[in-house]
Amino acid sequence: MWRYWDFVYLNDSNPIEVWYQTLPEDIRDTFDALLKNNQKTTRPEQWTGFRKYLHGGDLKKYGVWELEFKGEDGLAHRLMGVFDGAKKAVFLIGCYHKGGNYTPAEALETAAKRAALLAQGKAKTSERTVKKNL
Amino acid sequence: MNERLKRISRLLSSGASRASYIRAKLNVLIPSQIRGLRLKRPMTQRELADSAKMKQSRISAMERPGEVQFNLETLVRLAAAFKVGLKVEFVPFSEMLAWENGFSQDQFNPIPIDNDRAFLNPAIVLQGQPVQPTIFFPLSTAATQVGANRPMVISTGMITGFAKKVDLTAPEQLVFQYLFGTHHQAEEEIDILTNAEYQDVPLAIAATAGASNMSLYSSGAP
Repeated sequence: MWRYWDFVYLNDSNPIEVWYQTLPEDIRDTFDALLKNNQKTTRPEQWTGFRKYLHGGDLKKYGVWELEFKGEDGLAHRLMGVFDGAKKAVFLIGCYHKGGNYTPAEALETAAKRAALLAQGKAKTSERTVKKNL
Repeated sequence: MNERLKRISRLLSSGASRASYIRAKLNVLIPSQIRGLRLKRPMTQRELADSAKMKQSRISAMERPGEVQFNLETLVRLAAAFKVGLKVEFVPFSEMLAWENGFSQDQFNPIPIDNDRAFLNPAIVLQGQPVQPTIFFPLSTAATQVGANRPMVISTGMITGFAKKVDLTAPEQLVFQYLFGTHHQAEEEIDILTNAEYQDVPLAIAATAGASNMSLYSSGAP
């Protein structure tokens, strides 16, 4: 069973939770359902909504991938992350993608930067609970 | 009030909230089923598209959560391409949640119609269902029921569901085919004695041709 972790700054600021709380309810529901579903899928490349970056400098270096999903707002929401050890997925940044552009525009760079902070021990993680009762 | 209670309150009071909740689950579970089945077959998106008479890009979109609003005809075409059936059922929310919690893309693998012996020949015990006691024609008076070790799955040429498997010999497979194939005659009664490979205990398979159940008995101690 996979477990998920949010990127957290050393001052306890959790940008993933901030992103999550700004999502409309139906998008949060889809995101929660996606985590619950993929948690039981052994091979992450088979995860529903999984996209792996094969190119892109730091993204490739840190092995950044993303989960994509849509809600009723029609936006392609994305959550970028990295794997860290056995069945541990760490979320780095939430964003959305439209017309070939990310919002926030520097999402890719931020993901790479946060992955580097984790690798350097300059940031921490906090486990995200998968909701089984909703 | 915690998050769950707030949400339950909205689900109770708002049809839009209920619709949104249901949609969110299906936005993940349907793409996951399609992706899981396609990878297990295995089929490329192109192959599935050709079989379902759709574009590859459409298959790709259908595997992405929330990308496609499925209509019934689309699901029917996919089911036909995968050679499986389709069940659409209104259920309580608790049942929907249980389905979601229990669903595993890794485990999801409905058998295609080609191998669906329970459908092709209803005389066969449905896979995964316990064998129920049935009309029993004892091989000998010493025969005793195996009890808790009743076979769970019957597949071609092999009985599984025990701690050990029992391979049938070629003649026995022929009898199996005779029993469950197209050649059987109603009301015919056949007993089979298998090899003594299972803990040196001779096994008797008692069944009636055309019956929906069968039982496995041992002539020795269980």
